[in-house]
Amino acid sequence: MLTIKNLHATVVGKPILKGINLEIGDGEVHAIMGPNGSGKSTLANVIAGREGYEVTEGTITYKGKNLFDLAVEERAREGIFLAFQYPVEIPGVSNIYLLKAAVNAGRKHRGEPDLDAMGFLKLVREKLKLVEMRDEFLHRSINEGFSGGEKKRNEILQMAMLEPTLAVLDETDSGLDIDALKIVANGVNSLRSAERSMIVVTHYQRLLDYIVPDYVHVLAQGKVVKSGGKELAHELEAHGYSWVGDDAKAAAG
Amino acid sequence: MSVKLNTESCEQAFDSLSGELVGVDQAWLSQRRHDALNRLGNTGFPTVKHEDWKYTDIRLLTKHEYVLDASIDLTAMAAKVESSRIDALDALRIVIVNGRFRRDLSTIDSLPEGLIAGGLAEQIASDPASVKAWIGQALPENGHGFSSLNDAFVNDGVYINVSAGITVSRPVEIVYMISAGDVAPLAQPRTLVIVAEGASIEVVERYISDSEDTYLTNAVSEVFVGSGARIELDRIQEEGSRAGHVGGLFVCQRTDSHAVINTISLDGMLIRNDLRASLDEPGAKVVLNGLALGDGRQHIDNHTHVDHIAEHCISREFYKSVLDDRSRAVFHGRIVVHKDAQKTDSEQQNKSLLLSRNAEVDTKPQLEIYADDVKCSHGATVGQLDETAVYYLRTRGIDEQSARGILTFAFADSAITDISNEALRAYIDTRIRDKLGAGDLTKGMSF
Repeated sequence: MLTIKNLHATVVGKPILKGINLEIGDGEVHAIMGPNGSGKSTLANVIAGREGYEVTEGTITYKGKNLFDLAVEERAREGIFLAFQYPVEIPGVSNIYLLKAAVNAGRKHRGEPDLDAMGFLKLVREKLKLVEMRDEFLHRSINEGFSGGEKKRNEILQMAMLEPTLAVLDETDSGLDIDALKIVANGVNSLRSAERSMIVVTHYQRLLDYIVPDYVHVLAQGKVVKSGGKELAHELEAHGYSWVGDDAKAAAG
Repeated sequence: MSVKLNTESCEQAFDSLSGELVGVDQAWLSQRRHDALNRLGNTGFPTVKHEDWKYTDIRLLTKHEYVLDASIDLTAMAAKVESSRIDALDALRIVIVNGRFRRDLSTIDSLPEGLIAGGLAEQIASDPASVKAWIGQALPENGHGFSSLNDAFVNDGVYINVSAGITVSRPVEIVYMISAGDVAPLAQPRTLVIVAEGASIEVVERYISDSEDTYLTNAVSEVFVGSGARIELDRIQEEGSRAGHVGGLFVCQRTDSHAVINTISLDGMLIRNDLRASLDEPGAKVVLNGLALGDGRQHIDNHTHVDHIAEHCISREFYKSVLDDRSRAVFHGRIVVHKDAQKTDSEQQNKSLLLSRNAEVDTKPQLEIYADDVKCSHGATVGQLDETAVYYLRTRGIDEQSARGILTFAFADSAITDISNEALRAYIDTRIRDKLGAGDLTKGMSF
């Protein structure tokens, strides 16, 4: 699905990623953990194609294609979805409008006709249940005045509608209380499938109790310093990030 | 008869024309005109040295010679009047061409009970007292040269009067058109709208021209909102590409009245709006919304002034501008809370979106408070599109151009949400979308 080789990237000229290697197979869920400033969010945004995040070295291959050949929106239409750490408030643009525009952009890309109004409404109602949101949500401006939990649920709603093949969840747990976390995790889990891979970026192990990953990678100073199974997250929880510190120093050196 | 925008030329024109104006036998009206001419003689036309005209240089207008009685190509006008119809608006139509009321082009044959709507000159001729009681009452004493000019030559325009307790269900659409050509017409319509106690009406003022020729609209509208009365007035400016438009709108409100004024400036080379609302009696509420959509070298200046005279009044003011190319907008919003206006509740916002490096906005929200128990806020922001929002939309599969179109459209469109008439809103939506090149994707976006 996704192969990252020796990825180096800078943000406003500052090197952040310094040689990332990752292999994400079909249907796999990979957790990326690491302390603040380790490059987790940078990695997520490089995959999505954010401007200002400059790749200086290395490759990312997605479904056999060079990812860097694709513009942000083309990546999205090819099935990459980024759930934002800080979802953007957009006054004057309703959720339902965005969902419709986004879904139809993807369909057009795949050579499918636009969803008709009835079909769309049926689909969106079904997905709303997944994240326990009410209909009226649809008619509010995107994320405007939403609570932290509502914003994150809205991200998952969009993901559910777009049915990506690769979902990157950037600190989806940040700012969530335990109830909201469970709703979000349930939403994500219901979207797990053999064709859909996920990268779950998180600072804390807590989220991984609910979204159980197949693999865990620890990022420090722009490199993967440790990889393992889901038990790695528990070790991190018990020992803290200083536990991988020695490896991190070695990696930096 | 031609005239230049200087006092001498205006006085000469007045000497030769004043005898032909409507109601010369009415001493009060002649006196009004003479007084106005004297005021003009005293103040002259504003220059950039006047604080209120610092950012708007009228030399673009004063370099031309204008014709006060330009001839009208009636056949062409009839076609344009017809094509300017907004389907589904279902309005009573009053058509003004070059400042003169045209009954032949208007659609006001069957007016509902309690509504007078027609030409001002006809009204002066048939019932001068009904005009004398109101005309000039809403104008400030210290008006500028343009409003004095309108006053000095006051002759025709629109007269609307809604009797007490009457709700006019259909909107009244006033179409101000220009027939230009070899000469540059000066159109000076005067509009009076009187909404008596407990009455209610929606008025749509449309200034329309597809002319590429030079002309000047110097319009003055006065609106009187009686106790418990309600008015929505939507002023849509779609003037010609070389047109000047100086538009005064003066609103007086009595107890518990409610006025919503939407000023939408779309086309015209130089637009200057002076909007003044006076909350004279307790419990009055006024909402002022504005949108200035500029491109090319357009210049759009909105001067607003709200007087909180009485206590317990509410004012809400939200003005937006979206500026591309080398266009320029000016916003000067003054809220004055007079000393007896306790419990005033006032909010004012001006937000500008600059789409080009060469666009410019000069904004000046101004609050003067002479009472001590009030709730007032004001502010201004100027910025560009939020790049994070563009990115956000793109990560959902929307191409960059559409993403920018959506965000710009959303910004502009939020200025028209108080326009209650759906057909009119849809029309303006389309105009905004076309002008911004916001793309088909923004269709069906409004909610």
